[in-house]
Amino acid sequence: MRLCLCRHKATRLRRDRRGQATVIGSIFFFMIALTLITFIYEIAQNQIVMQHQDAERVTETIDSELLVLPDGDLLIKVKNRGPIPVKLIGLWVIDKNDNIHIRYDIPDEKCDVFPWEEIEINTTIDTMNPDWDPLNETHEYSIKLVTDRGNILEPRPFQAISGETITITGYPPWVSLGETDISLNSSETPVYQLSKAQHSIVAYDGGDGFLSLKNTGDIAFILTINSRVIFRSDATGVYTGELIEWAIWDPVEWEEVDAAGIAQGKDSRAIYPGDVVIVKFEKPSGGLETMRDILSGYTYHVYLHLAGYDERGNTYFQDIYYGIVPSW
Amino acid sequence: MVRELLGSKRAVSPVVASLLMIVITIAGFGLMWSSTNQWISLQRTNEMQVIRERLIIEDAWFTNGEEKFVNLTMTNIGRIDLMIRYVKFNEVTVLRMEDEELLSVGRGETVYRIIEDFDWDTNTEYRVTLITDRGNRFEAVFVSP
Repeated sequence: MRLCLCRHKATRLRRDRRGQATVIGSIFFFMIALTLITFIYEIAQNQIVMQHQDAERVTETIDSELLVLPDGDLLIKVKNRGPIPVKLIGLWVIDKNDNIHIRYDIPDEKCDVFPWEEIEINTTIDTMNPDWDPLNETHEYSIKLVTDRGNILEPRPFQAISGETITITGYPPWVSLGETDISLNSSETPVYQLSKAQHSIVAYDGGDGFLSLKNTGDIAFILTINSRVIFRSDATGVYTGELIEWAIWDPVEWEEVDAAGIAQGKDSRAIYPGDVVIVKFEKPSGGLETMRDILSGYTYHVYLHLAGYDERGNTYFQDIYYGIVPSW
Repeated sequence: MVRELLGSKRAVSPVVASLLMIVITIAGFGLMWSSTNQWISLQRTNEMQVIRERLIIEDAWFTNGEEKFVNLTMTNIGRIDLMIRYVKFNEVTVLRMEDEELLSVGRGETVYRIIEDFDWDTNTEYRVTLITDRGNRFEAVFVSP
């Protein structure tokens, strides 16, 4: 009897087609959803990989010392002060007098610089491609060292006098040019320190530093506390000031964004295209003796190192050179 | 009995209707599935390639011989080969390459390109913009001698 009932039930279930459409529809839906999720996941993975690469690019920190040797040779000492290995891929030598640019390949055995390691490249001993063209003592040169992550280390131009040493130390060594269009704002912000106005720079008189800029690009970006103001002097070294806050003209009043509450910036106020911003930094410190306040009585090259994210989620950084500023 | 059944046409219409519905459903889903799949794979390919592009402009050599020109040197630091379509100086297009003459830069490769007949001014800041075939923009600023 029970067997008969089971058989009857099985037959009934086989013939019962109610709910089939729901099941098939659900399968179709899940197939599409799964494909879409896979797609989004793969995009996200790629974004993460490239963000990682961008972050590594920002992390690269190297010091360099150039020594002009007799007969127009050059000794380049490169020290990696960062936490990741650096690979040098090219050396540019630019003769400012004759306007000649030559790019040399770095020899394979000298291109990898591991953390806290120092390498020396002697342009005569080490095989350079093309062959090393000796420096002319009466000419002014500019050097560029290029890493495989895309950073370009470029010290100030120098005269190729034998025995001349050019040292580039401190944070950040890069004056790499940005990927987004930001311009210095000359007249729209009432900034009284370090601002470019009428092709001149207002002198720095100690204390917190203020710089003005305007986002003239077409994408928004968000600053993080990794942004710095850099004062560089060949006599006293490099001093950096950390980002304290920035104010955005909204355009009725200044809207302040406190940098202290920003971890990695995603929740902070974005600087949209067209926004005028005043960036406030603490008094720069550092120099050849670490954590020492900036010394007065010197002339400094001033850079603004902006770090953060752009609206597409890419790591954003840009170094802007403001020019030479006499201190108080 | 058999003759009766063969002669009866009363159940034909629901059967044909069901068959039609099944065919339409399968065809509709197939169409939707293939187009979705095609769109997704296209987006996947494009998006991923766009994300993976990185380029730096190492140097711009403004030369002043018989004719003024600029020699641009660039390195692909991304994870994919790329093609450069436009070169702009201060947002003015100075070079537009057609499909067959796109400047190809392989992964990790350093290439140069001479921008001829560009009448640059001395001691002037130029924002050089390279736009790739996939629409990415890479910029750097150089000052002419």
